Amino acid sequence: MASSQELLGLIEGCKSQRPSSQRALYTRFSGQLFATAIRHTNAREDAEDVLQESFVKIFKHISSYREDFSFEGWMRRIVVNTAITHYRRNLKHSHHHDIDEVHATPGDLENKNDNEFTASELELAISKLPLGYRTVFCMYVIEGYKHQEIADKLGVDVNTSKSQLSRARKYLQNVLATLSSRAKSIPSMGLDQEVDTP
Amino acid sequence: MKQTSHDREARDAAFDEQVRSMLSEAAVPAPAASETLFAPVATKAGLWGKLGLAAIGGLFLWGAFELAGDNPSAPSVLTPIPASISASPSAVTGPSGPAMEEGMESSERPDKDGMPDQNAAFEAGGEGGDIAPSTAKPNLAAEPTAVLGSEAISASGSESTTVAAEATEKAALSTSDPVSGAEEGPRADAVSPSPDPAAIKAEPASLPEEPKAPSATQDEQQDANQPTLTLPLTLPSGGGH
Repeated sequence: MASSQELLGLIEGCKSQRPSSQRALYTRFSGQLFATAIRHTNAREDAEDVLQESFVKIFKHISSYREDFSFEGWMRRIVVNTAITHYRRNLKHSHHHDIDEVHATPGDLENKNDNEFTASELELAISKLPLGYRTVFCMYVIEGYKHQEIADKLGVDVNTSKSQLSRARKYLQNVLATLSSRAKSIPSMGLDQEVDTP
Repeated sequence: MKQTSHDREARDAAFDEQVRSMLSEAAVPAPAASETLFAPVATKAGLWGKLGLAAIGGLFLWGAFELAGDNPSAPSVLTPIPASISASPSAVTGPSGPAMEEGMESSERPDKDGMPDQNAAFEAGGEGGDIAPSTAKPNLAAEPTAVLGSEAISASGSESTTVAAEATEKAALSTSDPVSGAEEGPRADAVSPSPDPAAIKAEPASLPEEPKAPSATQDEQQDANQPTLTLPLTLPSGGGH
């Protein structure tokens, strides 16, 4: 991990519109930001678009970044906002899935303390959430938004944000608990079937 | 197994923290960035800089053109002549040499149309062969204005004016004896020195120095004839008033 001085040098170089600094910044943070973009989009192609658009915004507005805040957090917020814009732009063309369609396995509460799952399994389970639920969950749990902020950005009611978060969390807990308990015996237990079944 | 809301909240908080810790630092191999991504603002700044330079250059050229255009436009302010005067047969000193020659060439056709009017004026004044004082008088009276009006005449290129100038010139040439009436004495001097055609042609050539007429050849001829042309400019104005 590079030192903070090195990061400050990169930021200053990007403020000066230096292409070498911009390339270095992209190389350093693109993987992390791409993971964030994937979480807030439905397809990898959409995530690539969001990432590119986010870096355009980052390079354009980097002079407005204040060093009082986390630079990674500032960039991730840009990615999330860009993904939300992308999501709302394509909202008319996307099929809305409700989380009620997911068949939850019983015994989720029993497995509540048995969260032995990997990051890739977690990513996979999150990716199976409907986009609206996924966005609320990621904004609240990973990015640290408050419900009021989520409601404002998504254009929904605060209670809608709370309910979607609760249901998304419950679904993930259920799926991951089931995974951790059965994955070794039934590795092919399909998240796809559970989530995508209408 | 019952679960209180407090336990549930604690469990949710623990789950959120676990998810956050697992995913906040997660990274996925990102696609290669396109080269257009880097320093786009600098490219735009360069474009705006080029546009700004082009605009400044355009303004400079426009200003230079305006300054260059001020000189020929200045005399034109002095030259507006009433249509009656400019159309009168006073253009002995009318257009410049080349312009007059061109005008005479171009007015060969309307010359025939214009002559009857001139003849009618002669007939009204007296005999056709002699220039009566009443006929010569408009020529002399209009002469001072013709010095200024020559530019407008040459610039407008009106055929009727050219025809009138030609007719007056012919009339002046046809009168072997200059009009030496008592009242037109001083003014006749301006006409009388030009009984021969060469003098008449040389005389108006000096006048168009002011207008800076459109063609380059005209300017060259003006420069060539310039020394001989200062007298007609001063004499008519002094004598007229």
